[in-house]
Amino acid sequence: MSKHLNRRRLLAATVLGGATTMLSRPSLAQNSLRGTGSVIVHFGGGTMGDAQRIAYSEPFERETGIRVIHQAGVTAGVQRAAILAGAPKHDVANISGGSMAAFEQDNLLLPIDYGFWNERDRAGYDIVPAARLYVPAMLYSMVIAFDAQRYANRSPQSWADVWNARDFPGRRTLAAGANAADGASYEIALLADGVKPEDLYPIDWERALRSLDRIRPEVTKWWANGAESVQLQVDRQATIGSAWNGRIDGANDQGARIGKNWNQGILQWAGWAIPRGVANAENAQKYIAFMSRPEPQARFSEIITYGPTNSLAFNHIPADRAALLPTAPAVKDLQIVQNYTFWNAVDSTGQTGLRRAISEWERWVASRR
Amino acid sequence: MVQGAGQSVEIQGLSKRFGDVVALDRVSLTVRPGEFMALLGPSGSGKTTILMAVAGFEQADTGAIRIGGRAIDRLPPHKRDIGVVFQRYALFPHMTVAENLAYSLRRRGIAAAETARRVEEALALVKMEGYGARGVDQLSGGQQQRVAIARALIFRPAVLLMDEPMSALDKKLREHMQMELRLLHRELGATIILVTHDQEEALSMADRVALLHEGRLRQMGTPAELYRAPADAFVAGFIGRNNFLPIEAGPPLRLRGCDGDLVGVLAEDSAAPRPGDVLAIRPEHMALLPPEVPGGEPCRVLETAFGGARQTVLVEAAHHRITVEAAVSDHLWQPGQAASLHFNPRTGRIFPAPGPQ
Amino acid sequence: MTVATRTDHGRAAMLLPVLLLLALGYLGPLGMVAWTSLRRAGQTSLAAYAEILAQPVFLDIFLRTLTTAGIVTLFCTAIGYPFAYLVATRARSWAGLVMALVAMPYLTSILIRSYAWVAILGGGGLVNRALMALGLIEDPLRLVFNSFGSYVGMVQVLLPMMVLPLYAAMRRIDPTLLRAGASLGGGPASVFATVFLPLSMPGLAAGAALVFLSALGFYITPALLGAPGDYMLAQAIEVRVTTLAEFDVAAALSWMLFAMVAMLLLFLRRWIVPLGEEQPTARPSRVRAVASTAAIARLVQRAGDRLAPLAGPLLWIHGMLVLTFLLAPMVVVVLIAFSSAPYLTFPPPSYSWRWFVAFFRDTNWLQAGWFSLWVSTAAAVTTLAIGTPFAFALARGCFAGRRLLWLLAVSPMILPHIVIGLGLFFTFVALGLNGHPVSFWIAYVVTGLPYVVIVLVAALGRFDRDMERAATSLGAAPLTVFRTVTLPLLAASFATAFLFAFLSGFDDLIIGLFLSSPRGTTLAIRMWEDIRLEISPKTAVVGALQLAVLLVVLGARGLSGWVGQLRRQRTSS
Repeated sequence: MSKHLNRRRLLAATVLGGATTMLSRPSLAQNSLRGTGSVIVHFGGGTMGDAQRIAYSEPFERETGIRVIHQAGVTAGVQRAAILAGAPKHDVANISGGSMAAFEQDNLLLPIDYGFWNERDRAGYDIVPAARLYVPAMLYSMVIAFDAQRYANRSPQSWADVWNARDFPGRRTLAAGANAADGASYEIALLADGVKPEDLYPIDWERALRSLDRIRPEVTKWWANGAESVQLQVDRQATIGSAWNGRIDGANDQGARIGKNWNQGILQWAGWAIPRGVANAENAQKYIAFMSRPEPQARFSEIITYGPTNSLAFNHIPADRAALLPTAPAVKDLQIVQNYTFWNAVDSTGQTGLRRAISEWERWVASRR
Repeated sequence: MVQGAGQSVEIQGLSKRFGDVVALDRVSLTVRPGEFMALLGPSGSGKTTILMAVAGFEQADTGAIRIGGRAIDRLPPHKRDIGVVFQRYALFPHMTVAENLAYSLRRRGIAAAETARRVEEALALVKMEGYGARGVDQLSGGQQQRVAIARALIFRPAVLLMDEPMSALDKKLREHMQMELRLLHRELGATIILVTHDQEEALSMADRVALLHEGRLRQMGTPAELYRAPADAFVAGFIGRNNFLPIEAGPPLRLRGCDGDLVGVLAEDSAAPRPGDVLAIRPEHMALLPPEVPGGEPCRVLETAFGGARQTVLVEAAHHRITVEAAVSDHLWQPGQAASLHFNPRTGRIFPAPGPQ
Repeated sequence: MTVATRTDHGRAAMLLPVLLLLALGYLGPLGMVAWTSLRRAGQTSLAAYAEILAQPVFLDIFLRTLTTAGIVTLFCTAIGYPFAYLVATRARSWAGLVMALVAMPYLTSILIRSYAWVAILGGGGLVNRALMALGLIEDPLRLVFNSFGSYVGMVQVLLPMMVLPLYAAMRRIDPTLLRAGASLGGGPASVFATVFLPLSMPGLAAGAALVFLSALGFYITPALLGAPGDYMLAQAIEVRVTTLAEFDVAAALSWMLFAMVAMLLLFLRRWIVPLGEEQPTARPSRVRAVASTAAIARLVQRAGDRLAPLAGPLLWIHGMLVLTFLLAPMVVVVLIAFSSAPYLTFPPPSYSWRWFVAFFRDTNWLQAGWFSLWVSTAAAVTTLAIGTPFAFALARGCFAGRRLLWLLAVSPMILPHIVIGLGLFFTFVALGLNGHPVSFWIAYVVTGLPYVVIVLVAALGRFDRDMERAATSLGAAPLTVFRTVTLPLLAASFATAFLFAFLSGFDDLIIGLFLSSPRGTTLAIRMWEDIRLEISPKTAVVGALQLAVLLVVLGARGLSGWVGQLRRQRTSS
């Protein structure tokens, strides 16, 4: 997964990583995480995997003597089934914010042991707090993505602009509604229809779908996964749409010219958690504690533009890099943190928001084929 | 190729059902060593089932089969040492002619040199020298049949079974191959069981014929016996051709609607006529003479067919339609002509009226 | 009577391995899924079923899934039949190569394959660019991200399932029968309609069954190439497992699909299940019935005979178009594999080996590749080993319940893999096999079995048993008969069955995700892990390498065949 542009950054990150490790060694303020055995951790693959390996796993192994086994990630459903069956896939699982509540409700997770943490770090989780059963792992944002060349003079500033085909002609791509919370298309549709961010929740499904009706003729493809959202823009199959900021930066690192606008971005997160029934619970606690530190988080964000969850990490990130991150102070407030409580709460019809989003979508595509 | 003397095949009380259908009903017959036996019958008569049972491809429900006096019922088919020639030859298309011939020898662990020698010998036997390297699909139908016969004989089986081996050949080639097979049989002395539905083939080739119908053995004997003294109306009708004429009820017994004298017509060993019986008389056992010749039954020619030395003539006499084989002299019968029909003495046979066959 | 019981024992021994496997690797897991579908909040209830029936949208999704599978089957028949006919009757010397090329679409990851279609059919894709350059159109045509694109993608992947069994059946049609037909006064079209078509029916039935059942489980291709309306039941089930973790509703949906398809198959079993009615001489009876229903065929025969001289050229043109259709995406994939660009783009700006280097440097991928290779091979070998006697017992035996056994063995194709994966996972955890490579092996035997059974039962249905009887009478023991006669004569069918069984394991992602562990991670999982976030040319490298391996194997076979031919010529001259 090495690319010319990225290689330099990787190299820089490694050197920087070495330097900070050396700097941090004498400071005994850090809790000792030394241990034995191994820990099986979720592994993202691709650039994400590079970032995780370089920023977290390798320094963790050096510092603690615990061997890290990277294991490919699985979908939330598989993860859940595995925990229910008593055989979790990972000691350290990565669960999207939208699914976390369901894991919490069904009591599938072990409490995080903050005894391994440095006191100041927990307070650093100021955007999404570190909770009893999980720790936010990374922050990312579903933002307006557009062809930077085509809209060089006047670029879309809001989701309403994305819906405005007269002033911003070109084919659209948005997440398919079956992606539910992760795709954020319902929030985006409401924002485009003029709903104020503070009135977004509870989501007015009818209004959201009516809004989607209006943009439908302009949408060339409702994307099914993150890779597709950006690939469609790289190939100019679509010139305006939604995409995750990290995917846009990843493509631009490799030479694409995709513009992004943070305004009205939907800020999302994924969390680290320790499933019930894991074999190496203590090592998992230590790995999570290690990842909570600002230095490795800073290194992680050097390699991939996902925001650190511990804001103290910004002390270690160069300003030009920090500007690219969704949690950078300058752009943080332009975005709306997605309300996972709403998405997992049961509404008057007895369904969670996730479930409702999927059934509404199924009905919508069937009725208006 | 030196052939060991053929062995006897004894079949005793063989029965087989497929679901509700009785394929074989207590059939017993014995094939003598070196004999050429034809199993003859219409389709569904059970002849193929017997063949399958002897070869071991089909298990009979009851009954026993002995070859050379040895019971083989519990012997798996590949240990029975029986050669089989299949209807469509079943030559292996993925092998050459030589490989087809060598197949049984390789199974018996015969050395390569000996195998090669015997393959050449077998090819010579069926006059196919030089064809060893050919693919099976490069052969004509007749050539394929020769190879199939050679393949079935090369391992010197005690018995050779042939399942309608001529049915895929055209008439000329069939007659030629029938002759060659007879020669081969005489040369080798093998016991041969031939399954056929073609009575001409059975009569012309076999030493003896077993006639089957609906799973039962109806008659077994030499071709001449079956022709001359059929055991029942079915045999009489199946072997050769026959006219069946109803006998009029009440004494004196006569052909219904005819004036002729019946008694003189009957063969010496024929049953005595009873009411409701039929008289069977073959077309070749009648003569068609000009209408003025006395002592015959007056009739009229309906249709004729020319056949070289003989002319087949369909006549109507006293409301019966009768087929006659008339000798061709200088006179050819024409439809519409009047004639006088004469029965040859001591040629007719009386049978109970046959069923619907 | 001892004889009868002996054959019964023999049949039981032939059926038993498959039945044991199905009990362990299929029925047990499905029982667990069925139980799951009846459990809600710790209580037994029919709530999941009630919920589904209360929502009319599910009926719509069910019908759309069945219709889509039906349409895809029709397309595959219409395209595949003339193609198989061409290869089997007029291009026999090229058959091996062509059949291997036909199987190509299987050898690349579904995501990269779909991307290739976008590159070909998209707004700025090859087709539109060519049409615009020729001045035929002014604005690009919409060829993808609608139902057309969805059908194109599905037909391309499923066409091999139609063509390979058809070809195997047509190869066994004795050309002398056609000559016999012609000698009886039939024109080319009448001979085709009255002789060739009926004799090829078992292959057609097997192909249609394979295509239809596979199409029922599709959702990634429609999701990537279709419109949002091309939403298949498997996707509804998938999203309920992965996003909502509503295992009961997912299981209930699967069972309803299963019941619906099973009823359909039972109703149509006389046509679909290629098992003859009665034993020894049953060959033509059913075939004749089919032939007599082909009354329409007879109506067009006379016209057909007149057009017959055109048939040859038309067949060749059709054949070339089909090959282009099948291979164009492969060409795109190979070109992408050699791309110098850091991301996926077509046509590549320039060419390089960088993605091959990246692949071979990545030990994770290499390890996963080896794991996939050996576990899929082991599973395919096992499937063939136990599926062959099973298929023989079904095709040759005449016993009650054969059709039900056929349906049972084929039914893993009907159920979405996500449900099988769920059930298998629970079972393996209960058995202490969680994460063990053996669990992959069992799973892939179960998913490979339908292909082996469908292909082999169809092949045996048209097999001339006199070949085996001849070998037996010549002194060959049963296993020798199988080795020296049955196997070589049915080589094409066995190879097809093996290939499908192998690929069903090698291609699997969904079950693998359930079974994955540090001891067992397949290449498909590694690719998925990578392309969830970005599609890089590295996945194309895997496809290109598989193509290369296939071509090497083919080349070696062609060479050995050529050498053999030379030797034969020398000995005969």
